[in-house]
Amino acid sequence: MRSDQDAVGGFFEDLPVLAFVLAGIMSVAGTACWTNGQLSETDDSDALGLSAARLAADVVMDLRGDGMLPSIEAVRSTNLSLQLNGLAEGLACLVSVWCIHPDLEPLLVVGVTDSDPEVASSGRVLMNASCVGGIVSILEVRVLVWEAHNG
Amino acid sequence: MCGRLTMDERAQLALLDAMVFFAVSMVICGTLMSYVASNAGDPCESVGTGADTDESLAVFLESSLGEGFVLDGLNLELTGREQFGETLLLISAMVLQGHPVEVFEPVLSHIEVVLSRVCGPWAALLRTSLADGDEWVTLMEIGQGPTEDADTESASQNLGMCEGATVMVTLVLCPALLSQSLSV
Repeated sequence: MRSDQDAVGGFFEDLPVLAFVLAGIMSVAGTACWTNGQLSETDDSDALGLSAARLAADVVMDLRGDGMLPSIEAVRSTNLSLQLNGLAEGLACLVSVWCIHPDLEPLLVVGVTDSDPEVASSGRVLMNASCVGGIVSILEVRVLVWEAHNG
Repeated sequence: MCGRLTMDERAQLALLDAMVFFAVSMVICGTLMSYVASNAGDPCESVGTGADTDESLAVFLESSLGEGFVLDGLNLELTGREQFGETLLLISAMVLQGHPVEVFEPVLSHIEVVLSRVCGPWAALLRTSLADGDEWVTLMEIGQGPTEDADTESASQNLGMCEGATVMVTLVLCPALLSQSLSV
């Protein structure tokens, strides 16, 4: 390596310096972009989670009605269109109500869907309902909410 | 090796400066990534909130057995309409009277199956305890217990009085992979 008395290096002599500086800048820039994307995705996921929890709570409140124990037949015939219409614009959802005890069977499945879910969030709430013969059953309300992609 | 390693008038090396800059940028990258990782959260935190566990326990205790049992040795018949809470209190009373817990195995197995449906996909442990002064004595445990270092969520509910003492039921939830039966 030749000594540079004027402290001015040639192009090829400065390449390692340039490489370290560029690598540093690109690393920081790349990580910043990735971090921004991750945080944005987390915010979206949190918002979806909140929507799912709120929708599940609304559905359970509607199924419970006047506070009495609802019957399985009443749950089957419940109209949840009001709750689904109240969902924020741009969101799609699928709501299903299952009896998980004493028998495992689906009772109600409704949804507002126009696209397949990519980033989705789910909610789950349990409640009791009365069956034939005075048996108190366990119902599970499952809610899936995702961003609708039109077109 | 190439590069300018000659000191300038301020006794600085350009290559050394560049390496320091690169090291600082790596520290910044590490800080950003650790911030994102901490925001992503621990998977064990997704066990559920306390409210979920409370709700699961309340719904479970208020529901009916759904299946009849006849325990011949005890001259006990359960029609299936009894609530799980009532059944647990009844079994606790009989255990306190001296009956071994194993006698109630069919009922306890049924409770475990229903509990796994209610609490899935998490592993559930249902512990029935009796107040003994300031301490709680465990009468029976149903389900899989968590490992010592597992993050768990729990909820308790008073079942009632039994021979003058309070009977408490506690539901403990933990991620299924951290339960004792599946641990390595």
